[in-house]
Amino acid sequence: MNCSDFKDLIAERVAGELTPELKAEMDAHEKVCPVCQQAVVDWRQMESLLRSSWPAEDPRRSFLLPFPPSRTGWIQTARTWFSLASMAAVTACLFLFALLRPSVHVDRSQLSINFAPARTESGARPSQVVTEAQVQAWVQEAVVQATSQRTEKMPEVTASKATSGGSEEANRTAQLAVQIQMLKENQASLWQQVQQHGLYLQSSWRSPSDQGDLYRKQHSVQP
Amino acid sequence: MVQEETDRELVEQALEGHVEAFNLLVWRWQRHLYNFLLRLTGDRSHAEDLCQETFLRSYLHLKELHDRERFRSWLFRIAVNLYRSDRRRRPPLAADAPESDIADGPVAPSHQMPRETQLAIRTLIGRLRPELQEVVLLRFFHGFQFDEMAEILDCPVGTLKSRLYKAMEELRVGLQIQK
Repeated sequence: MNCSDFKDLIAERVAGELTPELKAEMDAHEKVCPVCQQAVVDWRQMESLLRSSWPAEDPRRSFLLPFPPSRTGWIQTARTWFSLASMAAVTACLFLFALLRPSVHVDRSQLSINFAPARTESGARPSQVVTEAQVQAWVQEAVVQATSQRTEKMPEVTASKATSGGSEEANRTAQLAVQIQMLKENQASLWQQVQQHGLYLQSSWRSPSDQGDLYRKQHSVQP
Repeated sequence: MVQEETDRELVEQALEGHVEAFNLLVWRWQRHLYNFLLRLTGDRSHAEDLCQETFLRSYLHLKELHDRERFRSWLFRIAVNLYRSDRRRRPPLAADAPESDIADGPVAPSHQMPRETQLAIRTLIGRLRPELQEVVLLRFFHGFQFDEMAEILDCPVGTLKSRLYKAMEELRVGLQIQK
């Protein structure tokens, strides 16, 4: 190693950044060269002077950048708001469904969507929805019931007519009269039940109170 | 004890969109960078502006940092390039212009070095040619090794060594004259 090579490595030697092999070579040169020896001493002094001449100071302000919200944070915020909005929408739908109680009804080739009425004319909420078909079924049931009652009463009528010696045609007429009377009684009692329970018909868009009139007109039922 | 995240980890997190990680890098290096630019420019406001611009550019170009271990060197390289561009635009200061920000800076305790000597050395450093000044500051005040300085200054290691030796000679001569 000569003085020129030594000069190139002097900074690393002072900083202790040399490999062991290079350090050994420089040590060997330094022992035999007083100029390079003095150069190392001067370098150490100057470096020490420089380092202590200018202490670092704190900046007067921070340089943290005023970043916009991160993309990840934005997505999370959007997800949160979307979840909350979805829950609110579902809750609102359930509330509306419970309030309106819509029902789809197909009657005589006409599609109608009905909503539960808020109140009937009497102020009481109906407890049950009755369709026209149900009323017809009840009437038929009443007829069957009346027929069975007629058969139970028939022996009494037959016996009374037989004792009176009437003709067979007169008996039939008497039976029919009894049957018609019982049917009328049953129809009247059935309609009273319908009115007492606040039931209404659901066959059209008309108001519940009018539906009863409509049914009476169509089927000639006397209240 | 909580282990501090490395620069590489913070850079990777910042690249994934966690801007808070980048602000941790800013927090970690802002004092070093600010003091480097203050010693280069001799003006606090100027150094602050350059420092802010450096961090902003480093954030915008973070994807271009291939060796993520070397964030500090890359940051200082941006700062040096900004300083050089800015120096070309600004008119040169007069040789006897007062450098109040240098004189107003903190001083080492008086038992280490007289205040006058400290200010004299600062003035001598400020009067070095820019390429010598950059080498002295990076090497002695910020502890960079020659391979890192070569990356920052875009210059061969051999050239840097000769520049450093030359700067040390000028400073030594300047101090001897003042004595």
